[in-house]
Amino acid sequence: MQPSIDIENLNLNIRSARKAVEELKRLGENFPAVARNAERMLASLKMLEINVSDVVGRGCMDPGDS
Amino acid sequence: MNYHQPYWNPILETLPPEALRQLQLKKFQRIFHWAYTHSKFHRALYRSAGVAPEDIRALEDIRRVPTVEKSMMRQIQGKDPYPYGDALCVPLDEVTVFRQTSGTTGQPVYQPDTWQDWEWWAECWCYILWSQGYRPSDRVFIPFGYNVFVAFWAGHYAAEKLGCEVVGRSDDITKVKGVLLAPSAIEEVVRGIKGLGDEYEVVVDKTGDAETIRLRVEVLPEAQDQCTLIQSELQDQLRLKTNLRYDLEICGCGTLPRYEVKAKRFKDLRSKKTE
Repeated sequence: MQPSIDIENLNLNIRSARKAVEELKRLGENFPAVARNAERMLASLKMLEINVSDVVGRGCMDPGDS
Repeated sequence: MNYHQPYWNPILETLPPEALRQLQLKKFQRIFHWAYTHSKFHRALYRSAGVAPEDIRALEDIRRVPTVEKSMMRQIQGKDPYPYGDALCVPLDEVTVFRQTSGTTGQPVYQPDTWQDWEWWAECWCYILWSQGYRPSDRVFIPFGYNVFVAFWAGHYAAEKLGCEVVGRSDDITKVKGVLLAPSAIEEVVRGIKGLGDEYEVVVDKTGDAETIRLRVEVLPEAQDQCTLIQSELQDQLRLKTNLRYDLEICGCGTLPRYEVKAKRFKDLRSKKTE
């Protein structure tokens, strides 16, 4: 028996993480160490979205979303 | 973290088949739309087949989408902007990793990737490794060349991502004239010199106490008149990259034997003489 997973809660946290990292990237415009690390975090966040968010509502993101 | 969890992704890997198909369609629509709107090459290919993003409404519609052949990729590499032609789906400055195919069946196919692409490759391998029983407490040994060849890198990154201790590179490195030599380094040099074909043959031998390395390469027909220049560049690059001197032989195109297995291009006759 698999333990239950709160996918909606996971998705909410992924969304707020994306917001925070996108803000970091914006703030790091003149701070390469911040901007580039934020960029890498966004790539990892994308994996969380592929693994979790895309499944919520059966992939509710619109075509063209990256 | 629960090491006994059997799935890397307990949501996706237990999704009912119909839901999975629905998700696959959504993902295909998204990637197709991306390629169509971001790459001139892909758009032209799809337009010539008369298929656009709005035509993909069901999984069956995917049959209408033409596949990208390896030969097309090789052709693109010869077009501007160098070296990827108009195939890229992202701006060039987002490309962070360059790899290529082995070139066993012809000119290597370049593979430009973004960092996110590599995250995804590794992610795919994580599904495999986790299902095979790899866990963070494991030590993973990956015996491959760690060179520009694209294969296995994702496996390496995935094992790292899982938290395994990764021990790599134990390929066919050998010691010649007291210097460690990786045959893959020779291949990289040969394939990096304009005017040379992809085939080559290396023979390491021993006469008395003296060890020799004979390298035979093929010159392309259009570069026949530049043999001296090519030979000199080849010797310089080999010296620089491997710290060794070679007896070079420049052959005509098509004269060397063709090998499917790369290792056969490297022959070490020394061991046979000591047996």
